Amino acid sequence: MKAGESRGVKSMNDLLLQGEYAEIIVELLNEPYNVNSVVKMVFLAFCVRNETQTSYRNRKTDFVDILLSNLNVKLLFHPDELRNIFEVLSKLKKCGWITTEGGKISILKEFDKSKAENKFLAGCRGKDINPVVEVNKLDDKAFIEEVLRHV
Amino acid sequence: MFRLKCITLYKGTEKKDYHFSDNAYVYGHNNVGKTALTKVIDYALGSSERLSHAGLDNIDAVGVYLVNDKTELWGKRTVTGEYFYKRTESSEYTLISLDTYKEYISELITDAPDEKAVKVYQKVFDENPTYRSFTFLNFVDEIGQGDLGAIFTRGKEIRHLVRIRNIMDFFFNYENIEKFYEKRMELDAVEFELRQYNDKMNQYTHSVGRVNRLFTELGLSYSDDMQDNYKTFEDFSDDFSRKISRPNDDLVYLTKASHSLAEELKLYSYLENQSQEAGNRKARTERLLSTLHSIIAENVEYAEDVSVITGAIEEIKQDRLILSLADYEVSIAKVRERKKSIDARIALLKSQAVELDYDKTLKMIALLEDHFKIINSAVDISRGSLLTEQAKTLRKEIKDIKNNYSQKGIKDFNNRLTQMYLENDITGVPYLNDDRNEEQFSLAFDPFSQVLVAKHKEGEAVVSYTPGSMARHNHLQLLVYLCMLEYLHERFTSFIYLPILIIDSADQPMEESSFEEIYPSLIETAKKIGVQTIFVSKARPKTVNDTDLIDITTGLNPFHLQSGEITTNENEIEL
Repeated sequence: MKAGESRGVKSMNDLLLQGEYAEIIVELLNEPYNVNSVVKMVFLAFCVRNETQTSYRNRKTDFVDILLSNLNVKLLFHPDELRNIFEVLSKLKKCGWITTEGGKISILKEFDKSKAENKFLAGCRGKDINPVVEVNKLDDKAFIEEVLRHV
Repeated sequence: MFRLKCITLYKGTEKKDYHFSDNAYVYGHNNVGKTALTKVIDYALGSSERLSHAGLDNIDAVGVYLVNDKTELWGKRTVTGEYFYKRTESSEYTLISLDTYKEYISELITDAPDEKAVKVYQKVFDENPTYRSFTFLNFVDEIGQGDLGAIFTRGKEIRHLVRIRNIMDFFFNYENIEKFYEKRMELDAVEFELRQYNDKMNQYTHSVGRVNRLFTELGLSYSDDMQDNYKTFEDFSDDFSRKISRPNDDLVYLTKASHSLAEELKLYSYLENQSQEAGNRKARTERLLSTLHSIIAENVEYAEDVSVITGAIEEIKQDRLILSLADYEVSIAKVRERKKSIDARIALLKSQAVELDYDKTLKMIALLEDHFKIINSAVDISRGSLLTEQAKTLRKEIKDIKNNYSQKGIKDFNNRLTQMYLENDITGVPYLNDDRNEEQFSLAFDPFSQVLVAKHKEGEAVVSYTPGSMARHNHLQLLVYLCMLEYLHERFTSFIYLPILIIDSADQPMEESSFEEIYPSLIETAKKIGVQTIFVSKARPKTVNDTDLIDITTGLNPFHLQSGEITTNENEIEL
């Protein structure tokens, strides 16, 4: 691949990872999630991408614990993913899609309505109790406390 | 117009008649048999309940005299449940079944019953309706009056709830129900044809399979074309001889060829899977890069990234183009076809090597003849998919009709109910005057839950509420009954419901002066819609004509064994 030759395979992998996170972040910014906090966005995006259970089936409780448990080991082995999440957020900001102020995200331009290919998000769509929506109900402080329990 | 003219109590050769006018008013104080009279009427009209109400003892039968504009009917029902009828007064009663009894009464309700509506009802609710199905609209019982949470006094019991709900669905959603019925009939016809077709197809498929097996057993060459097979069969059945295989049909050669093709198939399948996976991977990469591209494309700061992404996408497109050129599916299909043909030849050689038993061969020929008869009978293979498609479309349409409930009937009903309540000559009823002064006052009856609520304006919003006062409740309840009968009169002209309303003690919670005003208004509405009314009450409004009045103050049942005690002690026995 030419891109690999010019920028190195690592960079192309980064671009692909950023593409994947861009899809997830755009979906999380929109209905029904409306995630508007940088902190929540970073960790939620990470957990969503690394969630291996594509469906929580009939689970109705403990969404926070189950979803954030993805941070535990995975964050240790993939710290570069956080850098890419920040890179995507930075790109979205610099290109005028969003703005961030005091850790809060505001949407400036409407995104394309197509949904992310992520299997976990696809499994969440149409559920009466949406796990990501449930986790997003935590405020920033509570969310960070939960994150700290898992890292 | 259908009218109940007379009710008779029989005891041996004695009898007691009660004649009813179009707006009869049965008057009598407590415990003389007012409620018993409503039970007698219901019993004479074919009720499924026994005649066990207190005070109705010592009678053998009850009779009913019914008329319409053209004919008349005398019905009689014994306390043991036998039914009789006669067409003229001077003739003798004839024993009939309950169904015939109901049928004769139905004939009096309407000359030409709306058979289509009846059929629609039968089909949709799987129930054969008679006028008895709708008698909950004809009787306002004393128990249950004034309850706006269950308007129909006979609709409270669980056994009636579902049925009344269906009936209301039928009355208020008839357009859709009718369409639903037509589509169901259409679907039934298609499904019937499809079933027949499937039976034939199953036989056909079974016979084709059997022919294949029998050909193999007999060592005959089987082809996909049934005409060819039939010809082979005819040739064989003439002289029992099988064609000798061509010289190149060497079993060793054929086995090697089959094995080689199996290896080829394995390789192609592997390549196909690899190609598919590579394609999916490239499609995903292209999608992810495109997403990132659409975000950063307009910012010059990311020009380098944009250029890399554009280049990569272009390259992926070329790769996918190359991948799409290799059509493994076609190659695999071709190899499979070749292998199938070789395998068939191997099977043929194998079976030809088997010795054939004469009796067994004859039996197999008979079986083949039978199967070819089925195969050669015309089966239109394309018809099946057409019918399946038709059935699928009809099922979808039926589902849409079920979900597409029209609120128009209910809306019209509620507008009329509100108009009936507010717009009349009644001036001296306090609660009615209060309601008239409410801003945007209206009534809302939900026929499915049988709940009536009022609406008025509170601030900027129109809100629902349950109005107070038992008298108001009773008044509203009676109006719902009348409004229902009016609704049926206008929209279901020839349907089999009784145009009669029998009201037991409606005046109880009302002040006498209020009832004096409300009664004529109710009668007026009933007259307009051609409904006969029978009021049963212990109050006697001045507006009641003598011709309408039936005085039962001395007791309803003259054959009652303890009738003498009733006048002296009211609390002991209810007559």
